[in-house]
Parts: sequence; C-alpha cells; structure tokens
Amino acid sequence: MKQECTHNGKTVRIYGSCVQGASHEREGKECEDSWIGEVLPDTESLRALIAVSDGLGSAMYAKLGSSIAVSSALSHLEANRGAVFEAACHARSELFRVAEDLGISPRDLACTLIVADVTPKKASVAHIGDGIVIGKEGDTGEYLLISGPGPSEYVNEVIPLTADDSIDSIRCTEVMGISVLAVATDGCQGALSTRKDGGLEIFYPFVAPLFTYFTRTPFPDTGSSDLDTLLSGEKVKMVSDDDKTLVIAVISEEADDRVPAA
Amino acid sequence: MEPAESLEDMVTIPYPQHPHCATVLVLDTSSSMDGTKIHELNEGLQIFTSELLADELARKRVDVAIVTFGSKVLVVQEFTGMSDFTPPTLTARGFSPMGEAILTGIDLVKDRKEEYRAMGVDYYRPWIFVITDGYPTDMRRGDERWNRVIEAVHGGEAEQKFLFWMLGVDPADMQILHELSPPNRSPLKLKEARFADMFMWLSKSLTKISDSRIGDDIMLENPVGPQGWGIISL
Repeated sequence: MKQECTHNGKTVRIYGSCVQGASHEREGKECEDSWIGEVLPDTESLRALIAVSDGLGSAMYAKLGSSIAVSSALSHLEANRGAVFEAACHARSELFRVAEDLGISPRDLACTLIVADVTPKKASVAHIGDGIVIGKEGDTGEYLLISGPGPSEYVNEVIPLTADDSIDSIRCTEVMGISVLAVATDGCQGALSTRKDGGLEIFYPFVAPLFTYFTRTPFPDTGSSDLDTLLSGEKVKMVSDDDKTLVIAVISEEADDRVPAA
Repeated sequence: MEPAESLEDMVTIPYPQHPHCATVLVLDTSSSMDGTKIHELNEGLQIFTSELLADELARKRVDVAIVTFGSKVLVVQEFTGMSDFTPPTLTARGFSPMGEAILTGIDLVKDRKEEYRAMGVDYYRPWIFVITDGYPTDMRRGDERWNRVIEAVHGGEAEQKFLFWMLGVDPADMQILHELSPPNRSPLKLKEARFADMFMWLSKSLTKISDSRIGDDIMLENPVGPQGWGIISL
C-alpha cells in the first residue's frame, strides 16, 4: 500500500512499526497487534488512512482478530472516506461473520480498534478499547490528546470490538488542522502518556522529540525501521512487556522532491 | 564526525509505573483460633510473603494490608508493597467482630484506590480475603450493621469494586458465611490443616493477576478440586 504521497505542494507520509512484546516472546506467542496504513491522493486533498488493533490476550485467535479488524476497517474507509465510525462497525461485522464461518465465538477474535482518517483539513478518529491517539496542530504547534483508552477502572479490563454492546462504546473525535498524528496500542501508551489525578496526560519528553524526528527535513527515509528500533529498544521495553504498535502520519506543507506527484 | 543521535537517544520515557494489586487479608484472631490454628495462620502468612517476594512482578505490584478481628478490630498492617512487608505474628483472643472488620477492609480498599488515582498508578481489581473459624459476634441477621455489611459486600462485588472471598475454618458457621458472601461466589471451607496450601494458592493467584495484561483471562487453580485446599460449602 502507498504510504507516501505528494499532491498540490503537500506531502503525507505514514510510518509504522509493530513489535512483539517481551511477555509474548517468553511465552513463544506471536505478536497479536496489527496495523495498516495507506495514503490516498484525493481529488481535493491528500488523505492518510490508518487502522491499529490489539488482539486481546484472552482471545484464542487474537492475531487473526486484529488483522481482520484493521484490513476490513481500511477497506471500508477506502470506499467511504471519512466514515470512521462506520469503518469500525464494518470491522465488527466482519469479525462476527468470520467467527460464524469458522464456527468459533466472536470472543475468540476479541480485539481493540483505532481507525483514523487524516487530511490536511481534518482528522477523524473512531476508537474502541485502549490505546491512544495524539496529534499536533499545524498552525499552533499545540499537542492534543485526541483519544485515550476507554473508560475502565482496572488495568487489565477492556471492552473489545466483539463485545455485545461495543458499538455504544465506540468513541469518535474530529480535530481540525492536524500536522502530525500518532496512533498507538496500549503497549506504547505508557511512553506517550502518564496518568495524573485520575486523568491521562501527554508525556512531552517522549512525544515532542518523536514528532520532531518525523517532521524534520528531509523526511527520514528510514522512519519505519527507526520506529522498529525504538519500540524494540530497552527504553520502551521498560514501559511495558506487551506487544507494541506505533503509527505516525505526517502532513507537511512542503513538497518532498523525492516523491513523485500523484 | 559524531554519529547522528538515534530516535531512542532523543526520547525520554516516564518513570515506569507498575500497575498495583491491592489485597486485604481480614483475619479472625478471636480466642477460638488459639492454638494450632493461629500457629498455622502465622505460618501461612510467612509462606504467602516468601512466595510473593520470590516473584519479580508480584513483588513490585502486590500491595497487602491486614485487618484482624479478635478483642477488637485492628489494622495491623496498612497497605504496603511486598518488599516492605513483614508478616506479623498474630495472637488469638476475644470475640469475632467480623462485621466491623469487613467494613474496615472495604474502606481500606476504597482509600487505596483513591491513592492510586491521585498518584496516577494503574491498578487491578482489589481482593478482599476473609478467614474465620466462627461467626460474627458484632452483628445479627437483619440488624443495622449486618445490612451495611451485606450492602457493602454484595454491592461492591456487583459494581466490580473488588473481589470478595470468604474462607471458613472448621467449625465456622458456613451458612452465615454463605449469606455474607457475594451471590456469585460461595464461601470456601478449608480442608483440615491446609492453611499452607491455601496461602500458596492465594500467592499464586495474585502472581498471575499481577502478570496479566489487557483482556487476559486469569485462570486460577481450582481451590476445590481434588488437589485443592478447599471445599464449597453450600
């Protein structure tokens, strides 16, 4: 899938990484996170589509669940731009359909899901379960906690996309004029944010250098592998031993000469 | 020329916070526990401590408080992390003010959760574990304290504020314990001289919980199986 594109003097790129957590490494289990990202040249603008999912540890086919969730959400967004809520609902329907086809319970495919549709004008996000979405406004440079983990008092409890009432738990957010967007599963949550007074705050000493790194010119050619190295490194390992996925979309005002115009 | 700074060099992570698992042991130290039972209970606390200290994650994540009820209700151990926990040596005397002790345990959990939230610490659902060989002497069915205890225990479980376990040691009044227990969790009766096994099970269960991640199902060993330390008494 195309993960970089230039159009009318603007460039959109997606960088992403998904690494196995230390706990799954110890247990000999595969990484149960999935992500997918695509940049589309639109008639009016550029568009980055991102889906990120964390297969739940309790699900028998967690990896299958997360991969179905992201692929079906993205295919819906390709055909229905901006419709993030519907994309999440479509992903849920697909999980139920596949579960029925395989003769298993939807619970066996339980996963979280974050769907993002980003244009230079607007970022739309649909989110169920934990994980985090952080953005930076292009004009003001302000950092925004766009979507945080769902309401759950306890650290090991979450409402997955396959829950009976999950559609009611899908949280949708729209933000204007985002220049950088980071989407992450809960394995990275503790690096990007901290808890304070019962709420969640952006952890700037991690987020600000991260965003600076991906917005510098020239664009880092090795961005995704740099993310691999970061998520596999000792620092981020200290935050969590869970699987980790981090996807970053960057919208730049400057055209990148290396990328052919769409 | 100096090598370019890597992305990992550029970022700083927050001080790693472990999610915590608050556990309250509400222990009967009335005179009927005197002798072998209080001795075994004390030995069980030693085993509980050494097992949790031996597990790297549990040592960092499990917080323990102890409430005893005998001559009076005492918080003999405020919440503390396992690395700072020294098991007390309990002595048995007096009656069984179990109702007040249960309410004290529930209050400790409520306060601890507020502390976690204020500190920005994630946490698991707390456990309250009551062990008795008798029946409450500070309340009777239907009186004001009884109703408060029932509301606090049953309501607290229903609202997922904590997990509440009642354990009876012979000759505990299992019917009373059944009525006090949440409807979804029958009281367990300790098989004779299985205090050590019971505390091993408790420490293993807390170890599993303290290593759980989002969405994990926690498969606890069955305490009432053929090899278990308890039996369900209905």
